Amino acid sequence: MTCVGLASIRRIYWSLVSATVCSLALSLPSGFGQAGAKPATPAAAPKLDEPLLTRAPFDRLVLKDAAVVPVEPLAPRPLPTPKKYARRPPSRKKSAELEAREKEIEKDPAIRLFVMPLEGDGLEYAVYREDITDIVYFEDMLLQEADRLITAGDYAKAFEHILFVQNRDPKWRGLADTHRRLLIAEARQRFDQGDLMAGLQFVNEALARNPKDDQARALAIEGLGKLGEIDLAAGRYERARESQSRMRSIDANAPAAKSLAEKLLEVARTIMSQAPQDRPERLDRLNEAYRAWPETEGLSAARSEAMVRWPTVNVAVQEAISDTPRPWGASPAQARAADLTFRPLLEELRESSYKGEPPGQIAARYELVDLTTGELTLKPDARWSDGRNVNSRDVVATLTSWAQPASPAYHGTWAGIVESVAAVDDRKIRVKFTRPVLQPDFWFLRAVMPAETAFSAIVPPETWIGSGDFRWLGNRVESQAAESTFERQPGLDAGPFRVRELVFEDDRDAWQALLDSRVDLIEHVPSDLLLDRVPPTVAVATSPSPDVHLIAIDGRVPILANRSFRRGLAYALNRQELFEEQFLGRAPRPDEFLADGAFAKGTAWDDTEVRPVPFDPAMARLLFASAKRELKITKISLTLDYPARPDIARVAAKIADSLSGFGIEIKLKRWQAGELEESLRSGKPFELAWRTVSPSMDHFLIGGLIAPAIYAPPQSGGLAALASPVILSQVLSLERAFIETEVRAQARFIDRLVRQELPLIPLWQVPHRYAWRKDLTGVRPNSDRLYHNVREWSVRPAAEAKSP
Amino acid sequence: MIRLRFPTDLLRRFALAFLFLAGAQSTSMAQESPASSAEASTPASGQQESVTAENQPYDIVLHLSVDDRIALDAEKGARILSDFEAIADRIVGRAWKLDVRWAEGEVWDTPFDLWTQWPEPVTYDRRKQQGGEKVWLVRLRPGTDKASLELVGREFDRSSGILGPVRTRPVIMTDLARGLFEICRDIFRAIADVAGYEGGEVRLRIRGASLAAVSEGSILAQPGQYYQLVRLFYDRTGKFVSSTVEPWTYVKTTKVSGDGAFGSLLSSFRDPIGRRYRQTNKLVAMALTPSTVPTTFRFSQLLASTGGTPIRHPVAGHKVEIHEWPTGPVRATALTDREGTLRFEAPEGLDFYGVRLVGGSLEPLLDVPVLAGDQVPAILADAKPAAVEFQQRLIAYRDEILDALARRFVIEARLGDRTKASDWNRVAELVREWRNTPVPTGFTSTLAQWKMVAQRRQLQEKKAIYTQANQALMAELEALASRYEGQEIEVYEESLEKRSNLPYLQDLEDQAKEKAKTKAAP
Repeated sequence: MTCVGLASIRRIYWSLVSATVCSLALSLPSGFGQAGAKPATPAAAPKLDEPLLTRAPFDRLVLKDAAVVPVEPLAPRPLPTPKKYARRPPSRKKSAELEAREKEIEKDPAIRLFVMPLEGDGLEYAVYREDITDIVYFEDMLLQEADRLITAGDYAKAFEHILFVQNRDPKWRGLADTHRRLLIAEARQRFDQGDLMAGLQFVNEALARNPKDDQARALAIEGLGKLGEIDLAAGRYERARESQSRMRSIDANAPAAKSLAEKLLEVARTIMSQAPQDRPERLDRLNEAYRAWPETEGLSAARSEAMVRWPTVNVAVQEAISDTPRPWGASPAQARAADLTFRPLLEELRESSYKGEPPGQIAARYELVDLTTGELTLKPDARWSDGRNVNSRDVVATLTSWAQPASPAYHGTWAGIVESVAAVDDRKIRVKFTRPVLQPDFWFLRAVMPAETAFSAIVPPETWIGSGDFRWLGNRVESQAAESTFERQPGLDAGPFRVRELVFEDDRDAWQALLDSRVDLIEHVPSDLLLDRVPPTVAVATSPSPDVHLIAIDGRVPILANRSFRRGLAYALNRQELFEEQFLGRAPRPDEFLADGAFAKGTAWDDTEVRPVPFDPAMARLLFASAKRELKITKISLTLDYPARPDIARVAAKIADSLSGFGIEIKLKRWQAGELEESLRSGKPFELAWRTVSPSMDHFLIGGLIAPAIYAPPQSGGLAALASPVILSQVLSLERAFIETEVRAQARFIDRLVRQELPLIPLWQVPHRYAWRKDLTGVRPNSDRLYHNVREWSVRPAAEAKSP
Repeated sequence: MIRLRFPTDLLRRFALAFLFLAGAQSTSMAQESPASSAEASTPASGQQESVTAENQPYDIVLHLSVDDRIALDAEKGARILSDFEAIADRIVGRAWKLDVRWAEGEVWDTPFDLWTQWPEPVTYDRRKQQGGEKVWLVRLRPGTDKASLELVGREFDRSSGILGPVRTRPVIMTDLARGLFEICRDIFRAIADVAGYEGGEVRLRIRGASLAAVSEGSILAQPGQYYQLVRLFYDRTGKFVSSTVEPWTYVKTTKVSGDGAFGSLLSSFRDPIGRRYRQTNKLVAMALTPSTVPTTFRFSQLLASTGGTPIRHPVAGHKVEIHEWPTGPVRATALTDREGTLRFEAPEGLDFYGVRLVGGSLEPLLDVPVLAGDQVPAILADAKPAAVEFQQRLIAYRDEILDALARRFVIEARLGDRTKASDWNRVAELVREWRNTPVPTGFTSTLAQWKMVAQRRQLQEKKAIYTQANQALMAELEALASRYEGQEIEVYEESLEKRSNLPYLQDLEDQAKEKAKTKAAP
């Protein structure tokens, strides 16, 4: 304590007699009263030059003699306004009743305070409010410092001071003002530096605090105006309009808003006038004009007319194809593109398909000549997009390419069952199998490639041809967005004229686009969507096959081939918590639960007695230790590949975090979902990989659910990627099964083995939902293939409902 | 390939003929084992006298052909062959009686079975009897990379009708004669009569062994050489009919004496030499050089189809352990592919190894010895699916018991810690937790029941279920279950009841004393 402070306090009228002893002991005069009953807590010696943020809070009392005494924080904060109180000298006689009343009154902080000076004897003293001329609270000191830092341009430090006050008392007087000053100053600085987005964030925050803040309003209009001009020049019309709309909401008469609106209108008119009259690109140009300024005169009618002529379905997808469509592609994007652009040999495993009835298939007839020979006859009207007929040469090349290890379309199971493929004549193909095969026609559900490109990994766009109802027009990839466009084949009149896939990495953005009518259909409904909040204009459907999320394991990696380690991994993950808190962000519905294997619950292959592995960190630790001992290693580091989806990224990060607690380092590697799946299926080595599988009910594909590389060419060693030989032998034996009941029994046995051997870490099962606007009709409500019946779709020309 | 298979058809025909014509008398004659009496099983007149075998050279015809892509004319070829003969004469000496032929443009009109390994289709007419007891076919072709050359060759032995394995060797054009000699050494298979077999030792009389080598590198009789046993079958007139290689059987020479060699028998069969046949036969041994050429194994199993007709299925996706023969450590593991095949290249230094096919996680299905680089016949195995299924159930149960044991150990460790600290509330919680672990008798009774069912099923269904591996696993599980059963926590309960850690500390002391006593005991 300073000498000035002590001298002042000496003159304060003391009130408690018990203080005398202490006062004497401390060489203090009796004028300073002590609340002797309280235990003395010696305060740490403060350093006055220490920054406020790092020192313990304190307040300053300014006494009558202008002395400033730092004291322990006062309470309550802020103190009530001082009251006047006529004090009596201690010597005067009074009744006990009066004395008690006076004591009661003196407990009022408006009259008297108990303070503990920061320096001194560590005792508490009583001070009358009328002896204090000013109290400087710690919060005020922080705000004063923040103001100083704002002036000095040190906004980060200023914000720390403000945050400190906010944490102590968010309603502290002056806090809002200081914060506002900081926001405005920082926004101005960002504008000056050209970082308009960041500057606008500060201004928006200031406006959110006080919408009538003129300074913030002016600054917002200035920033939005500049941003709108930039977006307009870059062709980002929606964003320019958004800026314009925002300016108008701030100030309806803002000149910058008017100017931007005029420019947008001018752009829309120009685009509209340049739109060709008789080509489908007209709709694209009109849509572009619509994006710029929807209210352009005549635009709405012209767009409606174009939509009737060239109906277009916009589909929001998680991933679009990055090169030409190919029917053997492993990614969901390739599968969708192939559905549009290629026709399968058989559409379904039904009698009508064997007779060639479905229009969307290439085969006019399929028959099994004997137990090991099948014969396919092609339709005479099946054509490629370049006009030539699909002939037996194409089919022979395609079916052969599936059995050639050097071909990208290679499939191990097919290679094992096919003996020869021969063209009988131009339209007839004979397929000889090595043995009687259960449901060999399954393989003819796949599409055929032209003979010239059947063995090519990449087909150049200029030579690409398809056989489907749609032809691929191309992919467009920009910095933030990607899209693929498909156009109906000339001569066809059923179905939409165009299908355009727009990429939305985040399901929630896709959902918002659907609600905003920017897209007509979304491939995947976000998992955190509340189904009871779906608007009546939107239909939501569930695919028959759910999504099973799992972590695939590469058995070629020695540590992952270790059974104890795999079991340890399964025990180490708190999947319930990851599922609810990280993946869903809500409580699961009845059709969302933890998975016990790769097979979906409720299917014929699922063994109902199998239970998911519980979370048991103690067991996990023991098993990890055992694995390390067995392999004589001390450090484990693995890479987890995961597809670029925000919900999966959250869980992957959490998994890495929780496994680090067990001494296992997990490096995360982000992939495009399709690329990851293709890489895994090609047999390339990996360590851990997140997969989302939709278990189809075909026994030929069981192995692929458990180990993605199992059908890869032999030279890749893909079979060894299945970490358990006993499961591998069962899976390969199942491929040779010939009786349906045997298949089921064996599949259930495999399901049990997966739980015991853990060649993968099952995570959870969720339904796969897709949704569409009711303007689009004909979409099947329970299909595993989005474009399965695309030729039955029709999109209403509700142009006025579309607001880009 | 056909020649390597067991000639069951021929045997059957001969047996029928004997029964019809000569009755049981001839049968007893035909069962003479060449091992027990090599002379008795010697074929009729016209064959070589075995007494003079050591002095007999090998009459060999070498056909060297050159790939069209290699610029080597006949003149240069003749020079190389001449050099080769000089080297052979210097190193091998009289044992090889060579007839070297430049095979460029030469055409044979009958298909010659060279299996699938032969790189080019080569034809050879056996009827023409072009001479030579042994025919060596060697081809010079471009190597794996454009700059290199390699020689590929194999031997055909007329006396046994056996085609030797393919051998390859990289060469350089300037040293082609030496390369040719090296590959001839690789493919050459010396022939030996099996002169006796006693106490696991086989006595061989190697043909040409007495023809002194002109250098130290004699390739005829050396310790450490491997031989395959080949059985030659003859008809009643003593005419050679067919031959078969004794499967999974080799002889490794241990010492060489003047008139022959002694070797140890390496076989997956107990007595392959004493095996009896109805047909007149003779056992000979053919040398085989280990090589790094990959060996292809093809495993299959017989399954009954729906019609009851047995069909072959590949043993696909099974683990194969390559180990040191007979019971040495595992040197490598591999998997059979969809067709049940495995192509294995023996690592450096592993000339002879065992191939163990494993069903499930640890059920040994078969174990055979193989010489590195040998060509082996298809292997028929019993995949024992019921045994594998039972084994998997046991393994899963082992996990369960081990997990329960581990959980109890964790709880006990915590109990000990908390009891020492007299934290009685936590001790009470932990005791409750311990009591909630599975009841010990549950494990033992389940195991007893499983054991009984497996034994009964094995008897009733005549299938391998309770195999040796499963018995061992069951014993391990029973031991684990009894260990689990023996765990008690009375001492903690007593401590808890008395609210004193003295009983526990006393128990610890007793245990330490007991341990010390056990340690001190001899």
